[in-house]
Amino acid sequence: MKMRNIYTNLLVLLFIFTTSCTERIDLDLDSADPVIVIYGTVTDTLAYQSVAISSTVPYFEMEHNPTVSGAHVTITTSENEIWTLLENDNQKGTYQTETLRAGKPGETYHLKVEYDFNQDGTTELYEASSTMLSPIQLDSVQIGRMDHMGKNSFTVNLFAQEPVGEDFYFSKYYVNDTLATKLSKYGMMNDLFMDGEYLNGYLVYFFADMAEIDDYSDNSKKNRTFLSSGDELIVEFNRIEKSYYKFVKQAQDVKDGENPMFGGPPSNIQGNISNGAVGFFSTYSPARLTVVVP
Amino acid sequence: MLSKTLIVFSFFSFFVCSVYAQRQTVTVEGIVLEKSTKIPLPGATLLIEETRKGYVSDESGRFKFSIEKGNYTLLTSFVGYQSARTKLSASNNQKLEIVLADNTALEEVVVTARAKDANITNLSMGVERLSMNEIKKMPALMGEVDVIKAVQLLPGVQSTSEGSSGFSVRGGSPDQNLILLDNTTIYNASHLMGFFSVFNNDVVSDLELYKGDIPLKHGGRLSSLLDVKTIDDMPEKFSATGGIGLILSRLVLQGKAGNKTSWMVGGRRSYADLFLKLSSDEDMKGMTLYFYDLNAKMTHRISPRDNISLNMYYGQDNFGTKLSGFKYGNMAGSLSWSHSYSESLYSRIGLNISNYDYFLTSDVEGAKMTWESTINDIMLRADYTYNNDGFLNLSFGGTSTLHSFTPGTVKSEDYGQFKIDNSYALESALYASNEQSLTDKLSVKYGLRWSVFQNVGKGTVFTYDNNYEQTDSTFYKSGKIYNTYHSLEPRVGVVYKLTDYSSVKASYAHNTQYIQLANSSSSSSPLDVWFLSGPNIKPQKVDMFSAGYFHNLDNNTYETSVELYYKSLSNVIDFADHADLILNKHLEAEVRTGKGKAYGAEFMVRKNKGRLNGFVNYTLSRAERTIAEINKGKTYLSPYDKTNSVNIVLNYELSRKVTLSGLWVYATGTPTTFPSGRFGIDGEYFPVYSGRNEYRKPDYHRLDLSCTYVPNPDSKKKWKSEWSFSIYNAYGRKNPYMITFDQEADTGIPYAESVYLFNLVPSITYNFKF
Repeated sequence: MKMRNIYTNLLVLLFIFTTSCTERIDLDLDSADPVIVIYGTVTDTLAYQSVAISSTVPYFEMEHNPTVSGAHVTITTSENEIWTLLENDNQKGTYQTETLRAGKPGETYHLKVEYDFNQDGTTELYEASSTMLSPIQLDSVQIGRMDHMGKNSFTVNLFAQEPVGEDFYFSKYYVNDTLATKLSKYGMMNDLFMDGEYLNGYLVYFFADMAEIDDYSDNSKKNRTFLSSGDELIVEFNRIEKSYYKFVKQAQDVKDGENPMFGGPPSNIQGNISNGAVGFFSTYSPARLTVVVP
Repeated sequence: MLSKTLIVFSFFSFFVCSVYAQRQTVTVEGIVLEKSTKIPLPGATLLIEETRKGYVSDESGRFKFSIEKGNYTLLTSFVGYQSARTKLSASNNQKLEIVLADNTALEEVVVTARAKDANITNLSMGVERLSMNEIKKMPALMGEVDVIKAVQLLPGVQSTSEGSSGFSVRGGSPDQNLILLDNTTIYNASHLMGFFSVFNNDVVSDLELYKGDIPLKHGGRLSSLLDVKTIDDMPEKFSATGGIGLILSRLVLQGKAGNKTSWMVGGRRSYADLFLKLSSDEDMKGMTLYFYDLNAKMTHRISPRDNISLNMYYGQDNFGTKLSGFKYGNMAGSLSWSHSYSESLYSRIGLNISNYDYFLTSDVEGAKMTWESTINDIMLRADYTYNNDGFLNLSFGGTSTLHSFTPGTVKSEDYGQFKIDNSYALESALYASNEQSLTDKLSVKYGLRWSVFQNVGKGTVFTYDNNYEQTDSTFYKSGKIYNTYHSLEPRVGVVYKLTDYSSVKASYAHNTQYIQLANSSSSSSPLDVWFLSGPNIKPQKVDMFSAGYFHNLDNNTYETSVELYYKSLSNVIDFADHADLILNKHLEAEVRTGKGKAYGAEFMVRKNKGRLNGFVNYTLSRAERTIAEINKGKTYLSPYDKTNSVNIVLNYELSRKVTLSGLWVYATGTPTTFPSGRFGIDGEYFPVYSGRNEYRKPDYHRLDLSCTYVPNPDSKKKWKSEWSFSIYNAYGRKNPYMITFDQEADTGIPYAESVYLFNLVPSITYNFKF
């Protein structure tokens, strides 16, 4: 994440130097055959664990992606307990456990989706497995302020013992009980530089200041998350499998297209669902702390 | 005189003023030959008596200099030979053949205007020459003429992205170009993210680009050699050229110390950051944004047969905000000794050092760190030329380079150090080549380069399984040679003269490349990581076949040519999808290799003389790769494939005071990857791709114009000046730099946006010399 910030600064400098502008353009893109999209999560929080199933569409399709109804969805635990997930009548394409369920760290969960997506009369089977890792113990979180490029930023600084061994994390944030960071804004972190060290106020996320929101262009606004003094911020810090870390990183990298200076040619986001499906099935045990923004 | 410079410095500090040395000049080039045998005489001295400026013929007896129009007397001397006085009527560019007789024979010196048809008779193919005079006429971005931007206008050469210093030759990657500044490798030729190159106009005399058929004394790159030479004349008196601009200022000083030593010191510094200081915004004031270069050169004649030459280059870019900093730069130096053993044997022995590094810092609380990476080369080389009775025109020698790469070290106060291990290798070569005329019409050149590459400890070699997961590692202690590759690289060429004004040529070249850049982006970035061939990565190889037809018209006023080439590449490198190339211990596991192919036709028409001069070229080409694990094994376009490319550069001398120049470039849009579909997670859309480089960006085209005004072309004063007005992208074409995707704020449906860097950019330049 840190290196990315340095890149961003460099790009800002580059664009100050040039007279860079943007302009909407029309691209004529081919459309590929639709593919089934499966995205599901199990956490150790007691909840209706859910899996969303939909279909891909041509990139510039004006309608939202169609959901997939009528699939048979199960999750099998390490103890061979089978959870059946039923489609939510109010939320088509979303399949939920019948009762409140909680996963357990250390267990492996196996997702099975049976559905005749290609309509050839035979049901296809889509599968994925994920092992829930034990959470990192958070000691505390501090919200700092940083003056950066003429704007105020709130920083999220973490205090915790990082476990020994290669680890991967993502963080997400709820502001006044509303999820403020979707997948494209998850904070991603690995322990390459501080494996087994004590995270002593380690910077994991930036927020922009809501008081200065009018100073940002529309484009900049979209790429930032805003926070105000007095907000209640829930920091959720999740230790995850490498495969899910890569999935989110890749999704974040290609969402906006190619970056000619620092990115390679964009390519497909690697998921963990079998049989050519797009998407991911992940499990994690969230570590949460609540702070009030000073 | 210097105080005048200072006045001009301050007066024009708000204008773009780049400065160059000569105006109304012509280029004189030629060769010094032995009378009876016609063998070239290397190391002969040429002195223009009127200006007291001196020059030395190179190892092949050739010389080249620029001079203001006028009549001169040229005194040519060589030890053991009679000196020759030649009347030189320099009204336009010309080529001379100066023949010296040895002391035993008292004969007249014969001067012939020769080799106007050099392009017909020259044995080299795919060679492009540009003199600084020619480059300086071209319109330029911010009025700041740049050597690499000029190279990008040559047939078969493409810029990698707008404003970039990276270039692709005949479909190759930018890291397949060997860039030499006075024989020393420059690893990253860019300043300011590529908008300027490391070459200071006032310091460069000329350049040559070899598009694949590289002279045998050089090697190690697949696509090209860009050979940049700094000024090599010996001024009789102290002289200075300099300038100031919106972007940068420069100053070059030249002089002599005694009769045997000449020196040159040049420097430039950009100062866009000084304008940031004028900003009312506190944070803009705190920003750093500049680059500088220093060139220095000293030549000392120890004896009539021995010269010692010391060349230095140092340049650095420095960007920073209050919370982060970024520095990068090259250091290159060489010390060489040239010696003539006899009239026919000449040697040059040199030690060259090349260094490139970058250094990033972050001062953000909670994420303080530094990141450093270095490339270091030490090269020893010995080159000999031997000429005998016209039959042998032999070059031979050897080189050896020790590469030491430090790919990345990250240090932080709180969390210690993370380091990618250094890597070391020895790259050596022996070569020999000969050029000879078999008949009046038929000439051939042939040669062989034997290159050897050895990985040297200390180092750790990882073993990978089929999924590129590490299975084992072996440590080799310091100095241990643990892997060796070698390659025989033949290069041959033939020219057959059809008439006095036309010829056909053909050539074959084999090149091997052992070190490469880990970069999968389309634009060059300063965060270069070079990596070595080794047990996991085989050297890249190319076989290039080319053929051409050359025809001059109207008494050599127009040069026309058609060249065809076909390249077949093996072990060509690309990177896995989502490759992680920065600070990755297992970089090798991200590399995928396969085959490549490139072919094309290059058409060129050039008019060198007259009030209207310039060139037009057209390139039709294709470059593709087939790599088993990329694009599902299907052949895909190289990122540098541009089907059609046109460059037009025209200069028109309206009057003695006013010259107009125009430049138009057109190229098919670069291959790119666009999504064919999308999927949604929680209302956010992500792309699905059907293959790599299946689409193209919109076509690139741009017109640049400039007008040069010389207030007093006939001024006898030492102080000379001129104004240049230029417009970059005159019709404001919005050429996409990148195409980005986003979702509508209200509906969430995706759309595409083109980001372009430049609209119309006007600039004014003031040039002077004294």
